[in-house]
Amino acid sequence: MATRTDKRNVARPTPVPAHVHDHEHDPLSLERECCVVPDLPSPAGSPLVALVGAPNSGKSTLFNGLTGLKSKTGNWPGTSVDVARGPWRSGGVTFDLIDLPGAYALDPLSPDEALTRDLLVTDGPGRPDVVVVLADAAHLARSLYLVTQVRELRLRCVVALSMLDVASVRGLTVDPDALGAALGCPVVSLDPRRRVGLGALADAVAQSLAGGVPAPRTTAEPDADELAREDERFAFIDAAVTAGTRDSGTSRANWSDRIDQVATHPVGGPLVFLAVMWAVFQATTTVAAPLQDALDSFFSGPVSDAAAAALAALGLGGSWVEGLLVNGLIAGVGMLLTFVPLMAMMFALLALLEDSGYMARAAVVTDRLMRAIGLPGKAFLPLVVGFGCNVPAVSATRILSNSRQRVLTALLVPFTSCSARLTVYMLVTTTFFGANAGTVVFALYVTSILFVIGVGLALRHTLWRTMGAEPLILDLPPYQRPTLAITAGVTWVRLKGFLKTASGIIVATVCAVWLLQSIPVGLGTFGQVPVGDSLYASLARLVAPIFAPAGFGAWELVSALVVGFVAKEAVLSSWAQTFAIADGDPGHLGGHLIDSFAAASGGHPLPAVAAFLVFVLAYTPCVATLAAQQREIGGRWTLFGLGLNLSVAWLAAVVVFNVGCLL
Amino acid sequence: MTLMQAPLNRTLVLVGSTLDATQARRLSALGLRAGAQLRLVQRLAGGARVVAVAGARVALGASLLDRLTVEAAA
Repeated sequence: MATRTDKRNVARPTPVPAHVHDHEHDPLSLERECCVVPDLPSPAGSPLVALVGAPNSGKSTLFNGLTGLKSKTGNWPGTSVDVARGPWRSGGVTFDLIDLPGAYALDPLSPDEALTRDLLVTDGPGRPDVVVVLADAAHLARSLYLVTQVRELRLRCVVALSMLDVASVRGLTVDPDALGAALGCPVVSLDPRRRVGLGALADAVAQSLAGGVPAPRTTAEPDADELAREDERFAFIDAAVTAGTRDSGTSRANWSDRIDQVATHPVGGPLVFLAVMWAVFQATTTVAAPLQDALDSFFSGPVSDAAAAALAALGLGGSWVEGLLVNGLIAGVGMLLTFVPLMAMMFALLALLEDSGYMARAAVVTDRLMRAIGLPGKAFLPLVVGFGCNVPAVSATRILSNSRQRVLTALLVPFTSCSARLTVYMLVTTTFFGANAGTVVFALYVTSILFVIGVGLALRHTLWRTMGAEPLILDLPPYQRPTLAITAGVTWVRLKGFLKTASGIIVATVCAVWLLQSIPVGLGTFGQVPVGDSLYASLARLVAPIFAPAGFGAWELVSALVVGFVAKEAVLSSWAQTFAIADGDPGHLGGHLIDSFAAASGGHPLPAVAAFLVFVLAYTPCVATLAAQQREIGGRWTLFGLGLNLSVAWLAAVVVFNVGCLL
Repeated sequence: MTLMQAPLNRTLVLVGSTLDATQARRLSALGLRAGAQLRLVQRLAGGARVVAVAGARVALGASLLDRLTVEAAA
């Protein structure tokens, strides 16, 4: 294991700024726990290898290629804010590989960068035996700044050089051996996206481990001030780049710039952004709809019939077992599974956008908007993550350097419409709006953005009115052709998460709902009670009047919202249970919804449906998001956010219903 | 002239800044330090610009551009 560096010869990284650690709950301590508990354990005694590099340098892609795990990847800065860890096996040797959050340098400006610095600089069980620095050959000079700082520590260092193809297009040729000689550490060229050169990297790491820890790079003036140290580092980098590269001067036209002429244009950029998002949701609903219908027919027809027949053969027909299995688990979980094609399509399209590099442009396009609510354009990145799932989005606020900005962004994340809410939108909009369902869903996503802006503005001019602005500094990665392997991998990881929810939370809530629906209030026996006379309906009736001003104060509708507090996927399963039990008919949920909304709204079903959808959009997404907020911004702000979401959702629903009735 | 006043698509040299140390260090890490050659390649909303430096593209806000001094490359 590496030992503490010799302070006489080594230029120390600058101290961590106070604002990086001024958090109520220090995220570093949490992340250190993550490091102690790996995603997949390595054999005891495996050498610890840390993977570091600039944001968006392809670290997570390399980590996945080396370990076979599925850490989150994307072609935009700030994709990795957590630490991933897993065994890296090569040639009979196993390394314990950790993927640290992206950092341009060991002078952190945000908590995720501070974590990377902390693990490399501080002595302790998490200090790596070898550091692999992933450097971008197309942006070599700036990639080497981190290398020079790592070389100033008493650590073994191996440079993994990627993006050689992009450098080649720009007329730049890199000689790894000459570069390695200039840097004083091995340099291995590779392509993480196509998994080329991974064996050579393992060999270089093994050779590095076989030798002792090399002497740190010494600076000419060990006691020089930070400015002089930086000058010395840049001179060192210039010398290394000169020694290790050849520029043919035949750089081809940059097609990334040409795309950006439109994609980041002051007027065209926002239009492109809206068109891209509309196309995603339109394609999702159009392509997935036939598959969804087929699955719906399958679960409500043959699967339910076969289960009922099997139970009848066992003498359990009409019993509580049939109620739980057919009307509960099959109806609830089956309803959720019908959304798998839709979710897969949306996850794949968003993964394509992320891998292409477009998301960083989306952050630039929305920068002005974000600035209006006191946040930098970079804050848009966690909000974009929120459109997939709010839980990682709350964690992704760590890319922001200012703690007040982090709290504000974490409070706004629940207003971004996550994919779980999409399941509710799809069922309700296809039932009530038919062929226009895709456009209504798109309108809901626009409404989601309006909620973020509106609530952000309100908070900016009240509780956050003293917060200073931070200028836009955002690295724009070159566009790249998405690869099938990465798109498929990201899609599968997210789909697996969706299915995990289905198998965990949904089964638990289905059982809880079934139990409440089986307990009679007044006359009746357990499991043999009409759902309207059950404890479930009685509890829902207590809450339902609150939603009467919004036009959906019926217990059948409101009960699903209460269950949906746990997770939005549970809204569908609870409806499926409620209506299946009510009429003994697992299918035709849409018909039941039409009747319920018409009755509850006094003959204004469409305004009531719109109000319901807006409420689903704006109220607390799930308990997992609350847990993530509690971890990131503390209990006090989490409670504030809970009240904020419920108040905004209720007020907006009431306004939508009443205005809708006037139209 | 400041980078805000500089024309698009001309090769420029960064000669100075009035940024605080933290922002200056962040820009340095992105290749934007005194002596670096750069080029403005795109106007963005709100006066921001995309800067081409060392083969990379970095979006910089208007308030930052005003505090960076450049001159035309020889």
